[in-house]
Amino acid sequence: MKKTEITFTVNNKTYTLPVKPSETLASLLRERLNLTGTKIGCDEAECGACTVLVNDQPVLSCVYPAARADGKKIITVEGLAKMVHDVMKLHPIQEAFVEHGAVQCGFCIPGQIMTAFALLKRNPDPTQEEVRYALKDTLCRCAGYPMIENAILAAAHTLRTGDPLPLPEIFESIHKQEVVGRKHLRPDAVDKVTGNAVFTDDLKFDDMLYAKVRRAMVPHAILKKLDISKARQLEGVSAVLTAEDIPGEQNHGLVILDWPALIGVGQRVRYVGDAIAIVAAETQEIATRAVQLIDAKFELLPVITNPVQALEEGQPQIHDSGNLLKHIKVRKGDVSQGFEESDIILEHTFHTQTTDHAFMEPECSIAVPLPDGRMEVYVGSQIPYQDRSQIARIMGWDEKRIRIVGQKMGGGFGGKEDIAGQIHATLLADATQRPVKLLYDRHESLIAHPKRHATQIRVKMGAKKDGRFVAVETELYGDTGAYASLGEKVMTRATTHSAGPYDVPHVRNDCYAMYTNNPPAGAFRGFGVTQSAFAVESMMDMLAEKLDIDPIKLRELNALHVGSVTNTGQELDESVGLLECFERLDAEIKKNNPTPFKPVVNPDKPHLVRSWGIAAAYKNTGLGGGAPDFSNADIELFEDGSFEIRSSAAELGQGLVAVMQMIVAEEMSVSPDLVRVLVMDTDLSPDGGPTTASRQTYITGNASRYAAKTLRTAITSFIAEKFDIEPSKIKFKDGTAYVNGHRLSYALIAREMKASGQEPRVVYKYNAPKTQALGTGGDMHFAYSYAVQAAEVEVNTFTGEVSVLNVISANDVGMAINPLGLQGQIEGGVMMGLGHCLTEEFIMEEGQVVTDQLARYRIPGIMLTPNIKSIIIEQPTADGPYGAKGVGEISSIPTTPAITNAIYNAIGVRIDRTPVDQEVISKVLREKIV
Amino acid sequence: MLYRRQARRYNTYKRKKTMLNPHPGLPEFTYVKLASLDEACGFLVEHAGEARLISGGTDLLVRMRDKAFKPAYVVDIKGLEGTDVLAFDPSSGLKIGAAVPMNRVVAHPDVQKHYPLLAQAAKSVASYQLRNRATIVGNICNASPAGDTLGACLLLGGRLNIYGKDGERFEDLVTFFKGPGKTSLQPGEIVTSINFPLPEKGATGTYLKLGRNKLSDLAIVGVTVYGFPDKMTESGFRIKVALASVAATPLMPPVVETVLSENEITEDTIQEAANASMDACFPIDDVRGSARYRKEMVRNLTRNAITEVWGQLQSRTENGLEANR
Repeated sequence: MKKTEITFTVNNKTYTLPVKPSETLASLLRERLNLTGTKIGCDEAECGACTVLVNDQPVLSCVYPAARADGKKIITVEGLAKMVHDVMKLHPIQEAFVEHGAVQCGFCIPGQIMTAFALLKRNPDPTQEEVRYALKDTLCRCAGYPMIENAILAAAHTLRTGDPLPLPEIFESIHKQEVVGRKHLRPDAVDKVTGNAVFTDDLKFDDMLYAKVRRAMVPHAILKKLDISKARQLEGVSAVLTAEDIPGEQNHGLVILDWPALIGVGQRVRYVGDAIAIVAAETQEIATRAVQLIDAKFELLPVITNPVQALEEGQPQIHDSGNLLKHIKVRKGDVSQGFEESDIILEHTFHTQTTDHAFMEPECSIAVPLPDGRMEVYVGSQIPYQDRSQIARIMGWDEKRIRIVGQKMGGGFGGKEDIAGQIHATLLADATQRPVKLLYDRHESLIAHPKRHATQIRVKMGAKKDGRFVAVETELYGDTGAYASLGEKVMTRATTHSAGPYDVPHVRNDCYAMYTNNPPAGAFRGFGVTQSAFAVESMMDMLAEKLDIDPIKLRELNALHVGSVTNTGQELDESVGLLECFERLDAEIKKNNPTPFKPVVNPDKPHLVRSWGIAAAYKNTGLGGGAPDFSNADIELFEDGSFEIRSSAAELGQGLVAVMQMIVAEEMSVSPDLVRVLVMDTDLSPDGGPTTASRQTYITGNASRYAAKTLRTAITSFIAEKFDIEPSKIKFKDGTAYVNGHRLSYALIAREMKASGQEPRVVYKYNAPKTQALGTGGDMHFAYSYAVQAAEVEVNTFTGEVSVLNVISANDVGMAINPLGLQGQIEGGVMMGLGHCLTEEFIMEEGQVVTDQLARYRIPGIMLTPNIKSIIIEQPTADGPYGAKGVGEISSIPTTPAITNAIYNAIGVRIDRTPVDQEVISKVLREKIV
Repeated sequence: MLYRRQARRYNTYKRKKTMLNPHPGLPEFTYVKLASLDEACGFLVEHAGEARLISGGTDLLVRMRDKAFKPAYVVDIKGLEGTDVLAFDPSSGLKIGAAVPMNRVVAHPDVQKHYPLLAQAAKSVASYQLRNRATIVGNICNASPAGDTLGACLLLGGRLNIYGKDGERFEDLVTFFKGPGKTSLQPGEIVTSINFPLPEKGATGTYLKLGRNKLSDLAIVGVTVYGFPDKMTESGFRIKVALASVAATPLMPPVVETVLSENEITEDTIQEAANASMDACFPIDDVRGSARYRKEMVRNLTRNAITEVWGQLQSRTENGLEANR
């Protein structure tokens, strides 16, 4: 019996629907019932984002055939909150997620909440272990695991006892003011816990087509022949486009225009993800079938698989400019003299792997043609204005013809800076004059978008007997893959930071950023510094051991401080909190253990050995290197007394929107509830620059702040003139101006200003302090954040397995504007660092991607989460908003070397290649015994 | 050079013949729910090669997206007679229907009491959500050498109840596996349940699983050990081992059992048994671990597992003696 109809209830509502072949419950909920709170992160039963309850049992709806839902009772995230007298009352779990800061990008949150909901139904009083076990494979890439866990335990308490929700203890900034530096909840959290938050794939337009890309799937070749006739003839196909159909320029790129939107016949394919044709069809299934009907013939070429090979003579050249993207040089003093003066010289070579951002939300773009010839592109992008200019270039249009309408983003981490589907969707929408959605699935996301650079880093270090550094020489090779993306910038940062956060008289760093036939590499949280920090911080411990100096002491001896000159020639004159990081961390780590770096053997299980390790890092805030760094913010006061602050900076989950809201509330002396934030819309919000380089709190934070200050000044002068009163006598408090004993509400002020022909609105362009290009000396960056981390590991000497038990993370962030958001960034950073160190490896074989599924590319889950203790250091920087510096990246950088140094301290095995391979540990241990 | 070494390490990874274009998507299939085993069997015979049974579907749908399978019809086993049964009979043992999800097995008091080894193995599979769908019989019929529950089912003497066009037959699990993804099932045959005899008196067991940095759910190596007192043996005990992920099918090296039966059990004999276990397996190099590492881990995990089980057996025997006095 083949059923033709199914009847089921969702959130207590009964539906009877015809059966669709091949449909999963996830797509039924999303596509046919518009219940888009249920998310699809991987579509392969790995990530847990699609968890819903079927007859009270949590299931993964992406592998649940919809036809099986017949007669079942389904609960989705939309079914938890209740309307009580027209007011939405959150379920205690939802409320707990909001209050505990467990919500960041929000994409995984429906899955987390439904998993937790099911857990508390069957076990109202779970232990921490039981929570972790239940959430084992419900992945969160922002890695708010500690906060998620606390939220669930708090909600369990409330559900069990009826007590009010236990709230987390949140520290306050030492520089706190009325709003900034105090507890504040993200404005988007409620939508994200109820399933109402809209991500790009949640959008649908009338008459919308679905797109699919035909990728080369060969790593290096000349495209000889391309036959799209069969695909064109397939019923339901609206358009099949190739390179010949590109109206404008063929290439796009963030810095270098070397990336063809489509590869044409006779042209070179440089990696498996290169697009050769694009299809738009009535359904996703038809588009997929059409793509398979496209026939392509290639002349295969030898494959360049790594950057060292790429530089060798006689290798095929991938680009007309050759394989060398850039040779980056940093020079300070004279290293040969430095090594002569050294008492001890160490040299070692390290390797780091390619990694993927694995943001939980795969890329999605929807292009919508408008009747007036303009094009709207709905997309979650880190750089909306650059999307616009890159699309315009390919289309041969004026930029203003395109509007980027930014959507909620399920994480970015640097992986959504480059163009993904924006151009292809636009080409197809323009050709068909219909809206076109281009959604990547996890497989395509893994293959196509730029990764973290794999590197080979040789470090040579010379020091005096007392540990003082004399010279550091490094040589780096970076694999930037097929296209430049931000490769030059990333590898520059890797190079300038390759001698660590230390004051070294003689430095010589050389880096070769090389093209290969691997997927491109670009921006990824840490931006090259993650890689070089692993190399140099490992060397620090090797040196400390040779000299028999405490690893903290050795670092403190050489640490950057006010008055130090960096290896690029920048004199640091303020806000260098590195020594304070060491001091506070040293006290914390030695509180219970005076010799943390000695191995401790478990007396009951002698094959388990523990120890601590440490590492330090610094990371610039902002673009630096002479690039103009600015952001615009547009603030407006409305007649209802509310404000809107607009900037096209990107909210990828990191919490910028909350920061902007707090800053405006602070400056306008108004409740944050009355401040709306609009970001990522190129028609409605001015250019906020790229969301990269830990820069938005500082740059767009400042733009928002100065916009608000300017508006406040304008309001003050308006009132002063109107009432003929000294501006200094006008006070603002709680959304009200106090003038001579009178109270003027913002609503009234707005009306009065408008009545007298003044717009209560200010657009402010903030220019960050000028920086200098590398090689010219002077200030390459206007601010740096500093961090020291300590990790305690336990190594199983039988198997080589490593687990991280504790991490202490000390970060100098200048000023903690949003302490709750900061905690999420720090814990998430540590977890991302832990994944980079222990579990993640993007594997390629002769240019083909082996890790093309989330099942093969494993990001850390809640079971791997250590106890994370955060120490906040706030040495304010003069020009930052309230003294704040960037924190997005620094929190993830020292984790890897802290763990690998701890492994060495535990068992004497030096890890010089990431990720840590338990098999290598086991092998070295075996050889040591023999 | 180091890069080359890395490449070599992975070149044994099973290469796809032709790399597929991304997002092959779920191939079109029709979901079929039939009223009886007889109809289901008839349907499978009629559509041989283009129909597959779906139990939990947790593996099937993922593999269909991968294009590993392309069935035109997916036939639901749920609702077919006998597949929903989970019953313990103190005289004959345990029956687990093919449609019984693992969570139900884990939660069953009689399973926890009489077959804790099975509960332990099932609990180690993936996530709670997945185990709400995934079934023991499905795990068995996938015949993955890495299947977590296979070792326990083998050692507990699992026997399959198979329905085919010529009626019902039984097959011991021991003979069921023919290779990765291959079983002795004939076209149209449906495994309706797995049955276990009563456990041996005083039996105990454990399942140790090694993943990559604890993260990968797939075992690099899995070792199941099951033991019970047996007066017929020299040692007074019978201890058996099953190995996962180290051969084309799950292995039960008899030599290990022999070593531990014919000699007094000491640290040395446990080590000897562990070495025998290592020598009995023939893993391959793949992206998750080299053959050599796997062999060593088989030795280490076998030793740990036997030691654990042996400890439990001893303390039980001592307690038993206490009680007798």
